[in-house]
Amino acid sequence: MQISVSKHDDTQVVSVGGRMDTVTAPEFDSEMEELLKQDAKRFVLDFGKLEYVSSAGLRSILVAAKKAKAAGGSVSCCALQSMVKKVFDLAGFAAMIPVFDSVEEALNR
Amino acid sequence: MADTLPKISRCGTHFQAFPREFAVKSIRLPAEIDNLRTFVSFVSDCARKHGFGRERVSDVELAVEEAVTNVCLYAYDRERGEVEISCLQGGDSRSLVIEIRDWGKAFDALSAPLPDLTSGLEDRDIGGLGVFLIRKMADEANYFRQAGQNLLRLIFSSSCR
Repeated sequence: MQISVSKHDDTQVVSVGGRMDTVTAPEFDSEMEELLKQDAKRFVLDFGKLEYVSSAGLRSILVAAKKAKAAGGSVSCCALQSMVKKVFDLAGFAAMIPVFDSVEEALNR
Repeated sequence: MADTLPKISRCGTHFQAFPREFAVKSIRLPAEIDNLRTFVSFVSDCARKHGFGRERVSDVELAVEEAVTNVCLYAYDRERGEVEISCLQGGDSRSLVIEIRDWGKAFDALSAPLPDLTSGLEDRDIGGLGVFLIRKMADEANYFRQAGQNLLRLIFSSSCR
């Protein structure tokens, strides 16, 4: 899994690529935990290069979204590829976390 | 051929072992998360060789990751143990049968209740999604317990669900 972070005004765009599974999800947890510690509150998760997500990844996304909301912020996701979109839809995530087609759209919401 | 395999009972009825019409490929390793990728690569390779398309291969990978993770986390109560995965050809030759076997405590993951899929962010429970995804990815999922073994048998047709 590859993670990179860029800041756009008050929003952190966290780009996640590769596979978000039982093995790699803790890396995402650590990154988000670190950003939240630094008082970041608004996040766009760019999944344009994420090929695969399992329940461990969904759990990490949910935990991050709950923590961001508790801190008065928000998490949205964008650019879901087919496998990730399918899992999001099945798990009812799309109805719980805002999903956008692109980073730009997510930033301009 | 089926007669050579152990019969596995469930709820008092004898379960016939799956006819093994072609060479079974299997892998057996310690039940540790460090081996998860090896298990997933193994089934991915089997599914690809069986003619499954990329999207369906991902379905198989996902179901197996969820099942093996459950075994690694819960089957052996932190003791050492092993997981074995076998890939078999299904009865209609186009489907793929994957058997996940462990020797830990009896655990029927399939009996878990459906997770909460409708609550909002604050109320959403985090657990239960793994088994739900196994059920969604596989065309058929069955659990059997016999002679100290847990056997989860997943059947995948070649087309996506």
